[in-house]
Amino acid sequence: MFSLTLDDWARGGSFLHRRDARAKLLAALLILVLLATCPPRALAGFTVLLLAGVAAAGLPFTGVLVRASAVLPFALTFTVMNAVSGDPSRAFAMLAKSYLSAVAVVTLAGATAMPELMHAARRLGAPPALTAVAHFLYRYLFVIAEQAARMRLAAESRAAARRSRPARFRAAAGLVGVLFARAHLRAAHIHNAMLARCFTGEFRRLAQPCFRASDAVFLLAVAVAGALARFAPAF
Amino acid sequence: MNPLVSVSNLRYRYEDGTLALDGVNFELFAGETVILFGANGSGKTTFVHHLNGLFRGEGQVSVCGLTVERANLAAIRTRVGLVFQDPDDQLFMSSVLEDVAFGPLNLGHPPPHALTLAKEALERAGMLHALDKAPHRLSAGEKRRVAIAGVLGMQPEILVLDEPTTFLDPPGQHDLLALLRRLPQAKIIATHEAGFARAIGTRAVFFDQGRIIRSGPVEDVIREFGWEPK
Repeated sequence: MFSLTLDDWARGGSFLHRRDARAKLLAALLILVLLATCPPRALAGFTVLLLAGVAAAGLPFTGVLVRASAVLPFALTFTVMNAVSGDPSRAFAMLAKSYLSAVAVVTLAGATAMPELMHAARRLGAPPALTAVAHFLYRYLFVIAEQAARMRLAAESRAAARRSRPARFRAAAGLVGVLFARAHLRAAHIHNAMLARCFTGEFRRLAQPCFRASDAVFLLAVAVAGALARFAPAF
Repeated sequence: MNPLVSVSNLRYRYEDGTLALDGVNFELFAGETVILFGANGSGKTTFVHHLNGLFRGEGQVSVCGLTVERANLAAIRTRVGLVFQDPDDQLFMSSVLEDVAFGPLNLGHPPPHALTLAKEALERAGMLHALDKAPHRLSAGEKRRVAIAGVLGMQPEILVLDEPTTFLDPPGQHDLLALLRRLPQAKIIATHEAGFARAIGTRAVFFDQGRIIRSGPVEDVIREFGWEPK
């Protein structure tokens, strides 16, 4: 499963894994902004920079590149629209930027445990409700995916596959509806379980990560490298 | 001897009008393990949720001498450890250790002490080896043990378990039984499993349509209501 693989990757011990999650999150955001605003001729520099990031994290290149391609179906829609409207170079740049952005995100997720990422976002000022929702989404993604798989199996076992396309669509819609209802019920149960253990609205942690000098150096290095990749081709 | 839990004439109606509890009277004493029997929908889960102050109906509920009311909720929730039917509802943190430390941290224990409590609880539940694991990587039996550790970390005086054998295979049930026997707390266990109840219960009550209609020795209640697979 996609997220289980990222989960495994995030347990690594590379140089990038050991950096504070806030430094990695800020570095990734910086790269994304620079990448989004760069001219097409700067894309090669960002490609090198991101591949260096994948290497520093000790992640498998093929695995990262394949997972980043999940963004392509969405990006392709806009690429085709741009290409059809007579701007192929812009279309290509959009596609490349989308893909490289996805590589940056997959690298970040593969080098940082998701809870650390949520906590870093919270410490950097993200709204607590947003990080709490993301935390629960991550935790229960697996549970809901398992539930969906079981329900699909149950539907198939009752010959849903042999039915017409509209009938299958109706079955799928029903499945999604039931899944929502169950997720809602589970949310109520989880809330009760949290109250039962004296939850007061704030997630407390056993240990607060500390931002070391090496994290600051890492962030600075990424900023300099990103700025070089973004602005150097202009000179 | 004063009861640890005392429930008097408890009534509870859900928002849709369903009368879930209709005048329940109940007492739990130190050292007891009381089994709650009854068909699905008979009121067992609704009842146990009252013991932790999650639901509040009409009537009187007191735990360790404290009336279940808003002002006493924190104190009551430290005394009553409630283990939910589906451990996935209870294991909401991203690692086993973080989850077991959730309660102690909420009680205001400093992180180093919360860590000690969490590790002790995991050790008692036989899950210390899994402290770094994510909950979705645990088996059903392991999840159940971690869920129990999650309430043990709060050092409760009473353990309340709602259908603890759900999702467990016979070896898993056997392990759970051994774990529960080792724990000294008074226990209330809602279950359908007659064998499990026999092995651990000191007394049983039978729920029917929101009422306790029988209380007595486990074997008698099982026999009277035919609560055993034929």
